[in-house]
Amino acid sequence: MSSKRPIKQLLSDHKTAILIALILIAGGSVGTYFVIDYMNAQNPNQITLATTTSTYDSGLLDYLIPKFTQETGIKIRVLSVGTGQAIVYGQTGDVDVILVHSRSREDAFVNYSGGQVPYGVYRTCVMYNEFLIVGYSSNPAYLQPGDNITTVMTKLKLGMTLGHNTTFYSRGDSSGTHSKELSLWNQIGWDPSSAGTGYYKDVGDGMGDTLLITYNDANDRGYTLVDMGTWLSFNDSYTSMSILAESVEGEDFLLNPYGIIPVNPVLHSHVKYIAACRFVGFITSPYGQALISTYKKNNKVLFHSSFGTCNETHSCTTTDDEITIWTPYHSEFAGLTI
Amino acid sequence: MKLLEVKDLHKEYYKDDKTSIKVLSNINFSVKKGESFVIIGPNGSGKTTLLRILGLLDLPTQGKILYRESDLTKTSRKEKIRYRRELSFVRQKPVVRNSTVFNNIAYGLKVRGMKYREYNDTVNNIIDLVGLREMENKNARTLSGGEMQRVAIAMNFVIEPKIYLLDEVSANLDPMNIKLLEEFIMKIKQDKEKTIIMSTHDPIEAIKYADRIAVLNNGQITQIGTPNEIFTAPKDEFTALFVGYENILTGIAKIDESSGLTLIQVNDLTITSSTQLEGKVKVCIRPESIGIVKEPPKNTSYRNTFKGIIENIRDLGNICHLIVKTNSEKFLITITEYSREKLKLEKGSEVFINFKATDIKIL
Amino acid sequence: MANEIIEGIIEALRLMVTFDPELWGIIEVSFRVSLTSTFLAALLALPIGSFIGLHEFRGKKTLTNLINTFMGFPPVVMGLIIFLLLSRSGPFGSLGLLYSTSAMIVAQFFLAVPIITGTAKAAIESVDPTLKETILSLGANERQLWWELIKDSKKSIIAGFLVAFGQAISEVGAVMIVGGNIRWETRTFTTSIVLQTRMGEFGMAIALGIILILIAFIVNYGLTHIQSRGS
Repeated sequence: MSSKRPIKQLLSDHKTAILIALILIAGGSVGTYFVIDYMNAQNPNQITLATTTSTYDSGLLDYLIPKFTQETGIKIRVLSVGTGQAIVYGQTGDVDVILVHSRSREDAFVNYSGGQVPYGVYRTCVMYNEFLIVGYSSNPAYLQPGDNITTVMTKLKLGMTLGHNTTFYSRGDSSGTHSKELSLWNQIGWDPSSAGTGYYKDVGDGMGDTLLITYNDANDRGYTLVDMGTWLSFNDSYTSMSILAESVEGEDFLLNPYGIIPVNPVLHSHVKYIAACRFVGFITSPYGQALISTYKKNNKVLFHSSFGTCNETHSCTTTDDEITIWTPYHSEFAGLTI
Repeated sequence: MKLLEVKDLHKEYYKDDKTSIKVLSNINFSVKKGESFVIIGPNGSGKTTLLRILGLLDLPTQGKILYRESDLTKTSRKEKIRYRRELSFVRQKPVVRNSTVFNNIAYGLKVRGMKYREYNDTVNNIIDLVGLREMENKNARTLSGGEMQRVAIAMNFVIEPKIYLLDEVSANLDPMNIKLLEEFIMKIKQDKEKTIIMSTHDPIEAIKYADRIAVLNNGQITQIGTPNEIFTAPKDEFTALFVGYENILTGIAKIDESSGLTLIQVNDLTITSSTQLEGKVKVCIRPESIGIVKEPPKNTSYRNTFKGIIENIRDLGNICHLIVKTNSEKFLITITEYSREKLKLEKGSEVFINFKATDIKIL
Repeated sequence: MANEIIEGIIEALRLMVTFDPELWGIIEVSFRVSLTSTFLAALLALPIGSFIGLHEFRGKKTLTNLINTFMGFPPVVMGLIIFLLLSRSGPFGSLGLLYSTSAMIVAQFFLAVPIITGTAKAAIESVDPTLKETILSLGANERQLWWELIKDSKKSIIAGFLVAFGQAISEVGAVMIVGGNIRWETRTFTTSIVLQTRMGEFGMAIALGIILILIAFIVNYGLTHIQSRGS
């Protein structure tokens, strides 16, 4: 008789009501996620940490943080960005704590200079790792094991200018690695860009990509500065390249110290200062430091713990304040062993 | 009682290069309630545009449409919708929604707020009336042209509007569907509460349905009148042709003082007419009004007699169309097949054609 | 290098077959963000787009131009804008929504709206005008007319949704900037592939790549299927 079953007709008759109901349900479920995110933002036991890509890519934080969360119930969201970006996030208060490896910028972060309120408080040393200079095994610049940093940099300079048998690849971004590289050239007081773009190339990219470009150097004569962690991730693929210079006994030029700084709650009242401090306490506690010095990637230890002992291991200066301020936070993690 | 009054209506379309096409100009007419008003005109004369404007599917560039005291062109959107709910518009080429036949027919009732329980029976009735029962659940867009037109008719007639706007609806229909349509329209015509405004290019249809006819030519109304007026006194050539004056000749007319009749010189023929007129005129004669004989006629009641040769014969069943050529003019004559046989008229036969002075229409 | 790729593919299969939780987390985030943003965009843009398509008014041409321009709005720029708005130093910073899926949804929402607006408008405009007149002559009011036209052009409209969704799920710049690519929380297919590749962990990257291609394939299949049924 009719062309519609009664149910379908019922639906059609109340089309508007059903549509509105559907939209409300959908809107409600979407809305709950927004609410959840908002609540999380207020949750004092959830903090955000900014660190550099090379730090994050080493996998150390993914190893450490779950153990911290297990002990304290505090969740940490990790942002892996460039050094410059991490510091800016600390300045704007978009994160609660930063972990970077650029001492001069860390000091600027916590300084009272010019009467301004510092961005962060109570900077402390955590660990250090190593930089390496890697290149083709053919080693046209003739770097020898045991060469000190001046010798290494001078040999590279000669290869780039007189010998024309060396090309150096620079990160070219404002990363910690790049600043380290520039400071090395500074040791011999030479501006590498004067060698011309044939022999000194600004990559402007991440560490992994820079390595790849070095590896693909047209004349098999590329050299670059790389951190140990990244090198270990990729060295299996770059078999024709090897470590040609690393840290020499007594020298710390190729060492890379890390500092951790909570963001100043006076400047940004919303930062979860207490939770951030507990994390700093964790990472500097004997337990945390032991975890750091036993973390391995590709069977090699990447980081060396250095809380309170920075100036003994190398010329990164520890202040007495660091030890005094942070030691009380270690009690939470006393008695924990790996 | 005037239902609808159109005053000084114009419609222009503007093209991108700032030029405009005038589709309708100076349209003035009114339609009474319960009337059946037929608009005739050649293709492209603006019939469809006029009907669309009457249905408020388009707005005129100038002019008023008065309906129940208010000017439809200036009413609010709500009132426009209310007006549209009192009419229906059936197009020449049907357009249906992408849904079943049943739903298409029911749509008009649905938008007026009727619920399924309420319209179910009415829709089913009309489905039977138009003979679409077997197809009621088929998607209307998969139907043939004729079936789709039946759907269009059904969906427009089921809502029982006060005004029916029909745009050349039988133009693409087969005879069976035309008959179906005729039943519907005649029933509505008898209902004095319902008004019909329709357009057609078929004179028979015009006569069948019209209480009054308006002739629309080139965007202008050239004549309005009862079918009889239109058919007996067409005001221009188109109308004359339309109503069947197939023979239209041009000549100079002069009144003959002595007889009181008008003599019209058409090339080498002198045609006598009882209508008094002077100057350049058009002479219109119906094919049925012309008699044809083989011998010179002795009866002088036909003032116009001419000799000619049959140039062509077209056989249409029991009617014959003959083309007879006199010296300078050709005449179309209609006679029955029976007469043709009796007179033994063939191609090339020499004949005499004659017609009365009073059978001529002068324009 | 070939070795790495083969190892990667094997790792990819392992992750998929064992229902690796991190992989599933990424799938969940990606779908939730893209589906939500497309859905919300449709909610707003469909009525607006169809309304514009239905009516003629002064300035319609300019508006159409605007919509078409925004359809091609570079996603990273949108990411930057939302970042600046949601950052603590920005006007909406106090909500603390930066680096959350909510921020990603917001960014993708604003990218999807012009797409759906434009396609809805075009869909409505492409409906046969005589159908529109027929529906009007049967007495439909604006809402009823709008609904019928939507039904008639629904294939094109759905195609518009698919295009917007496809763009959302394969977008990487905006979600990276406003989401922060945080493990377990704001990592999507695309941002994860960037990270894994940078880290040299090709297994997860390839697995995600395969799934992403599958999704693109399904979406495109849907689009062509709809278009072929359309005529």
